[in-house]
Amino acid sequence: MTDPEIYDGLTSILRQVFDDPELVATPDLSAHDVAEWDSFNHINIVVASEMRFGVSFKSSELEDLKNVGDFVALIRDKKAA
Amino acid sequence: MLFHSPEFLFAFLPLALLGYYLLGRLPNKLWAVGWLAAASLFFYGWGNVAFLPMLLISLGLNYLLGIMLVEKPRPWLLLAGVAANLAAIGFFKYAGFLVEILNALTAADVPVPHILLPLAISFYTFQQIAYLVDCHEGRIGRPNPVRYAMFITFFPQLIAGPIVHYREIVPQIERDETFRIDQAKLVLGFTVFCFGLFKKIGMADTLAPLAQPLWDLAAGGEAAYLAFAWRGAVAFALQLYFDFSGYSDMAIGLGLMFGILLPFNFDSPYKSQTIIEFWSRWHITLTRFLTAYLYNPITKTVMRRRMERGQPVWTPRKPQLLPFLVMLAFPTLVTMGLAGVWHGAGWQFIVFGLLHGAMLVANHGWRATSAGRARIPAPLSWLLSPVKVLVTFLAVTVSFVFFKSPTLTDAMTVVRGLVGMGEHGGYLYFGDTVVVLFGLFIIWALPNTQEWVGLKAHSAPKAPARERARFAAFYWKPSPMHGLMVGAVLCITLLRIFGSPPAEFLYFAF
Repeated sequence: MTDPEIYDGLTSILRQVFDDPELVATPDLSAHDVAEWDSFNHINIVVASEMRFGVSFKSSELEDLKNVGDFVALIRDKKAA
Repeated sequence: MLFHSPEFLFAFLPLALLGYYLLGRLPNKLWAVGWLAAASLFFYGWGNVAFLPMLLISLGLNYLLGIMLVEKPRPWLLLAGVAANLAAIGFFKYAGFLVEILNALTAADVPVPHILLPLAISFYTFQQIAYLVDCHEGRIGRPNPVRYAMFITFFPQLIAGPIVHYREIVPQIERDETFRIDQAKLVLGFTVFCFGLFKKIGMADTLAPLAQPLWDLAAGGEAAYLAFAWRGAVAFALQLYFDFSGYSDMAIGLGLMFGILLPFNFDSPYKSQTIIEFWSRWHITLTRFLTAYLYNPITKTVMRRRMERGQPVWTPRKPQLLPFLVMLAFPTLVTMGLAGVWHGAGWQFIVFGLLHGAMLVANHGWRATSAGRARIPAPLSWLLSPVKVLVTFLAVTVSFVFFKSPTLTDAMTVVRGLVGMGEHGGYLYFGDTVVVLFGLFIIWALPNTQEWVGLKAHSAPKAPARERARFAAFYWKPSPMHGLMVGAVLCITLLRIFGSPPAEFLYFAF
């Protein structure tokens, strides 16, 4: 799976979770940029991503993510493995 | 041994530092690490040697479990390890409480066991649970036993946190630079330590006698009059903050003196505008532990099940009641209820946790439905910020009444006073009120310790860069002026320490 495909998938997940059709997943986007991105919506995004990309994340892997770029890298590594 | 006792300040700490940096000159740094672990065990056993075996057993068993999990991750083994750790806390902390409940429910008369709670058991157990999960998830290689012992027992954080992860500490003691004397780190660490000491001795211990009379009244079943009740309750909220964040500052300062950076535990929590924000700034390392190992797994399970069944999932802009209750309210209340019980066995702690759970749920609900409401225009919303901070602070103050009260009855008596239903209490001395106002000034108007010394680099969404520039002379830097200032603060604090016997930290009870 290529990075652009992952970004596209995340964009549609983010739009759905935050109900905001203008949101675009970019490498630098982080929880600080979206007012409603709290711990709950974070899990919402994680579970939606797990189902969409057919991967599963460990709790500790998610703790160190700083932005969408980190998240995409994690998904890419999981798909490659 | 307490951080503010003379035997710690003038004997233990200098010797521990000296040995550490002398042994740190040897090519094999494990000597220095071992020295630190041994010193930490000595520190722990100083007050009561009887607690030492329990710590050593826990340390040994978790180390072995960790190795087994690193070699071959097995879910049942992880589960058994976590259960064994929880059983140990459960026995020491809750056996008495559970017997009391059993007696009340069944009218049986089982004698209530009085079990001595080993110091710091909640902290070192949680830290090792997180470690076992890390081992199981393949995040760490086979640990070295000496480094592991030091990671768990490191005396600055052993007694009352911060609760640290393996990956935060061990990579630091695997680097050779850590063991080289770094003047900048020593000075910075000592400065942070002095400020923690001042928060504890200068603030918390001064506020304590202003809070206590309110609870003395409640113990006799008497509710205080309104002003007396509020001044007492606010004094306690301030005392608890200065006490615990002072402890955390001292821990971080001591860590730095050994070249090791510990995570921050407080980030000006009383400046929060909402309860959600409060919990991201108060006892941060406990919040992140509970979020990662309790709240997230529960929420994830519930959410996954709903998604797989095609049931509606809660999203902030399309609020629906059932998904809200199942997916947000339920995990929040469970997590906060358990967080309450973590602090101690007793109904007052359960109420404390559930009260915060309820406030968090209300906060989430309000936030979720706010999309439909009109946004408040900018000048008005600036005016509103202090109001939000005040309301959050008062809500937290009321919740801490349950935290401090020895029983639920006492807590309700104090609350009666807070709502104006009492008439007891003494005269409010002006000088005492000034102390409370000074405390409020510190928490609301001044930067916190890590901001002041410029340590807050790791995850600051709102870096006070502009303020720093404006009051550049005020912020700490290694200069004679600031050295004098810190020295003066230390002098005042030491004079107080020798003037009276040291009081224990509030969080030692957990």
